[in-house]
Amino acid sequence: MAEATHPLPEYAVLGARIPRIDAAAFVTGQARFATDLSVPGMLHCQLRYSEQAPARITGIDVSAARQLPGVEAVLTAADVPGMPRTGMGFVARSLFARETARTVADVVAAVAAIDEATARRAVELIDVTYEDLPGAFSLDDARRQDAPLVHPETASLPVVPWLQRWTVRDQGNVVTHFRVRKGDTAAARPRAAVVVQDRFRTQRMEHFSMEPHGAVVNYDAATDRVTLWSSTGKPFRTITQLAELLQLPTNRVTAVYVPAGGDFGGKGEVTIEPYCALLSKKTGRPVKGVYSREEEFFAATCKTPFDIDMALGAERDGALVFIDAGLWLDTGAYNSMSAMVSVYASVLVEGPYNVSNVSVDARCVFTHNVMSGSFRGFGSPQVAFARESLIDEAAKALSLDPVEIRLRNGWRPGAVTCTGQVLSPDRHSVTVCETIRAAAEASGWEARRADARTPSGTDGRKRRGIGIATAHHGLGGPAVAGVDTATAFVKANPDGTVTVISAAADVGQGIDTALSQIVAEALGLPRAAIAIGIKSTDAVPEDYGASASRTMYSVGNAVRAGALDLRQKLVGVAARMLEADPQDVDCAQGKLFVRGAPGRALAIAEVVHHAMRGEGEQPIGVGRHRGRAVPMNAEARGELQTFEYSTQVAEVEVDLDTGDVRVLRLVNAQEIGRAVNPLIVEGQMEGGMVMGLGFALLEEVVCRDGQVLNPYAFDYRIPRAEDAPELVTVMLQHRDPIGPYGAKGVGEICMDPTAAAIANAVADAIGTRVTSLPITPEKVLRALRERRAP
Amino acid sequence: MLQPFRLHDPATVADASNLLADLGEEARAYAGGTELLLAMKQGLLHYRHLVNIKPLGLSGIRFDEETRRLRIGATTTHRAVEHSAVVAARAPMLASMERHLANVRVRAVGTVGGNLCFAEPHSDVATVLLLHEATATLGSARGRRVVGIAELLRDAYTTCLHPDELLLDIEVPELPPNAGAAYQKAAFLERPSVGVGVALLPAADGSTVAEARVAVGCLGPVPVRVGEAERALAGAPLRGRAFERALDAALDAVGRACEPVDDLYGSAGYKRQLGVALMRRAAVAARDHAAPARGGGISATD
Amino acid sequence: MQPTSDVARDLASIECRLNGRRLQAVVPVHRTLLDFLRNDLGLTGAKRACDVQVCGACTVLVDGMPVSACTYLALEVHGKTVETCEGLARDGRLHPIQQAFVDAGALQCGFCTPGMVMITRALLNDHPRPSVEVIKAYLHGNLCRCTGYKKILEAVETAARACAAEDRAAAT
Repeated sequence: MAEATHPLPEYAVLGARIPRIDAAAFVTGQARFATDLSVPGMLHCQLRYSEQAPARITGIDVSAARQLPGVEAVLTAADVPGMPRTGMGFVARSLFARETARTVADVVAAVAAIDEATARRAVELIDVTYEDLPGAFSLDDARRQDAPLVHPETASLPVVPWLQRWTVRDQGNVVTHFRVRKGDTAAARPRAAVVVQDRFRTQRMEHFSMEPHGAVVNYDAATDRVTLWSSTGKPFRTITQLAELLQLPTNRVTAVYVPAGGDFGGKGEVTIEPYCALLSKKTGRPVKGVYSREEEFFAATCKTPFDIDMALGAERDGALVFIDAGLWLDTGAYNSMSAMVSVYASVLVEGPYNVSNVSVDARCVFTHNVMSGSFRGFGSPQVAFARESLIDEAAKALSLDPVEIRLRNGWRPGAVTCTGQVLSPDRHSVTVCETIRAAAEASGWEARRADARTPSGTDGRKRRGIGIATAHHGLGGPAVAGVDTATAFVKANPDGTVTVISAAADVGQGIDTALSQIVAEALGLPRAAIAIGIKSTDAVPEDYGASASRTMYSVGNAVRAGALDLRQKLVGVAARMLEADPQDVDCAQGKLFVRGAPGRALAIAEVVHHAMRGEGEQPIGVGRHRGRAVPMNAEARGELQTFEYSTQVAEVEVDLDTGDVRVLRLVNAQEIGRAVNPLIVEGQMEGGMVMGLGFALLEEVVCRDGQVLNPYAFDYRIPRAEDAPELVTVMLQHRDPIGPYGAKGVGEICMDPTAAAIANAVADAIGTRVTSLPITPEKVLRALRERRAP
Repeated sequence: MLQPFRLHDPATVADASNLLADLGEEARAYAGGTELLLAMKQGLLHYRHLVNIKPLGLSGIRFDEETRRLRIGATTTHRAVEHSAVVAARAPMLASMERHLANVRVRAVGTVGGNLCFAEPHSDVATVLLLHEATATLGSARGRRVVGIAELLRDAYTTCLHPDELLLDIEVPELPPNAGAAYQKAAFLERPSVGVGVALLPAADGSTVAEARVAVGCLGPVPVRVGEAERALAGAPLRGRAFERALDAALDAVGRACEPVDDLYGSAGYKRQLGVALMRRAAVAARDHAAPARGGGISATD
Repeated sequence: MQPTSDVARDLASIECRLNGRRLQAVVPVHRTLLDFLRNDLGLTGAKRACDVQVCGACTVLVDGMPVSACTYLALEVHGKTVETCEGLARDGRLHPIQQAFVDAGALQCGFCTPGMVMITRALLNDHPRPSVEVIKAYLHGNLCRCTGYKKILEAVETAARACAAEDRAAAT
């Protein structure tokens, strides 16, 4: 690991490479995930899906299921009057299919029984009859004039407020159209010395969180309240959706935080929770539901597949003249998060480059496929794949080095983004070129590039290649819809310890550890004196959840502000106790003391005691983060909170006979602002790179006629230990002016350019380009064959 | 999720055979369970009775010096084969294949016999045994019979076992000491996409191929020997251009003999191409391992 | 023809050693070891993640050998020794394997971690001084979606050294 050269102040706790505070619970098996929980009297929920789709449902017979011993309740559309719908974009998803099943994930019935096996048998006893309907299963099919409409009532389908300005109502299954316009691409096109263009495709990818979606839900009739323990990474989003569906106010639905076994953007929408809640209401007993791995693939969301038509023009010296892109997103039948993905991806099409002319048209298309949605990277890896591929093609046409062309165009302070955001160093670090230089240096770019493409392998049938790609990530996705906000409380306890009350959801990123380091730093306390309070949606302030790379930046900022507020309060009390000027009182090493007079010191416990018993007020710090973002307007003008950058270099070896691609090395030079805990940051970077490798080479949820063909771990390949290449991480720490102690999000940008870098390395190795992901051995062999056949 | 079944623990092969005969299609022999329980959990197979054959004493590995055959009991685990010094010495290609089969947990529990009887088209075991010209001993209350691997595997998931028959053991003839053999597989998903084995048995003077064996797995319902490829290689010199020419003819034959279908593992064309590529590598490795002068040259490439 | 001797069971009595303690239980024959551990005994360390023996999150050791508890009948542990990750720590001290995972930062969401710890235990049973290739061969069947494996490999290497040192200390 290389250290940044940027001068940083020394901190006692901040920046310390310490293990996770909660690690022991996981290695001993004591950590209790939602799917590990059981409560007395608990029933088990199983869902019956429509096995045909699209189809008209002509009959649902649950009588045999209801009569099975051990079955406590069976619910169908008939049991839910009014049938509320949910969705984060279009509000289109009903709990139960009544007359029409649009996808094979549409739920026909929900069963609660005394155990899983009984519930499963009951589900199999439900008799459903269908009439087939014509379907539209691909972007091309769904866009046709005569395509069957996924929602015949498209014109009246409800949409969340922020999306209304980009909704189209008269183009069949094409339901949103988001435009970015900067300059005039048509006028600029003739000025380009070289224009490169292609159609790129990215696949449906499964989050494959190791923990499936699951929850235990209890409805208490006496108080008309719902309590749930869910695998969600966005507890407030979950209770909001759940409250809507149950037609309850949100303060009657409580999510108790439990560790989530992975999220990656896949644990934001309600899944099995509402069914458990309704069944609990019906039976008066708590109900647990856990998705099978198979359900993970079709019933939960996956990464939105993109078709990308992109053209890019450059001047002779490599300066980018224009980028013109059409993005088509297959949202499945219930466009929920995909709409926001389309907006976000569009804004990132230009890359962290000065491009005077940008035109992007992004359209979401309903299909009869299972619902897609958000995934770590939120559209950035998809558009980076297309853009970075074309930048390499432009460089090749102009005989420029790939590093050189990126440096030539990388943002400098003062750059203006395609949404009109001026990048000023007092608001955000503008350090993309530093990442490009650092990646080139750490990878030994020049020497390795010269070596690449020499035959290797025992029989000379392998070729090596090296590729580079750069991407940026705009922090705080909610900025698309509004301003991001977070609030935290930091509470001093009578024994001198401190409890942090924050809404940060720990989905594996180790945020609680990092937050405790921030508080320890702000208060001058040992980290062990800080505890993270047990969280529930009742006990902590409203929060957007673990998403959009925002938790460290936004919640971290609130926590830091809360800790500093507490510090000020403690100093105030101590000053009164010591009869000193607050200006002269300091807080360090667990004590409050008068500077320069070591004898005049108080333990924090004494100060808290005095504050409470003497002055009548417990010292509690309140901290807020107010996002500085400007919500995107109808013309796509707006601002994101800050930006992260990563440049990655991939080295690959391609087997010319089998098409196998082996990644030998991945270098990630990433602008992280400030590493609150380098061990954790490194872990995020490494994990993101390997997930990016899966996106590049291995993973695809195969759908045919609306059915998922490979919903099992043995037919869907995520990276294994032996797939992981040598991983080199370079943390660049040019402090973010707003983030806590200069920190910002690291968890998405680390995988944004990975697939693009690998694709460029493969192209370097074989002299031809695969334009659809994943780059499977079969596609490599086909590309080689097509290259040979002129 | 496993639905309830009844477990039977017979004491002898005859008892097991009678039970299987009595219970008919509602019963299946159970040993390691790595394939069977999985398929039952997934709802692909339903049995109300499982007949536990692990206590029948069918596990074990030994080498018969007289017949030069390795005898592997049906309920021997993959792990036992993988770790066996005897197998490493007498059938190194088999040992190497076992080292790369599934994962360490499946190998600890799954059995060689279970693998064969399940007749999964993507099994490595059958392909390698086919190359060794191994035989399977089947037994029932009515007696015993010996069949070749090709006869044992009728079709995908189908064997020649009668309802009352059990696989008792397999016998694996040792390859001649100067033979070269190699097995190559490509596994993008959990199960291999293609597996190809080649064995070259040199003539007495060590300069030419006296006998060639080529087995291709995963590309059809069952692994097959490719006679035309074997004939193309037989008689060819082990070194030089002539070997390459014979190999080219053999590769053409393999390409023609494969009849893969489009599926999750790839298109038929891709799988055929992959089969040919792996065949070339296996043949070259087998040739390199064939030792004209000294014995013990059998090796396997991973 | 001899009459068929048959013991047909719907239930099985099992007696085993679980994490060092004797255990007696009666289970339906179709109960998987994973359900037995998680639902009957409340030992939820072993996780159900893929349910098809691919991901390794349910790895436990039976007579020192790793098995996928998700596709293994509970009755098979009769007369055997079973170890789960709940049984590794002694007297409130983490086992060196567990400590190595903590120190290396080899876990993020932690859902694969119990399986990773147990496959490491199995690896070190078989190969006290494993090469990187052998480590990767054992980890082949244990998936992690968070870490990218680098810190897991570091943890396993550290654990191997720590266990070897402990063995040396015990021998003297």
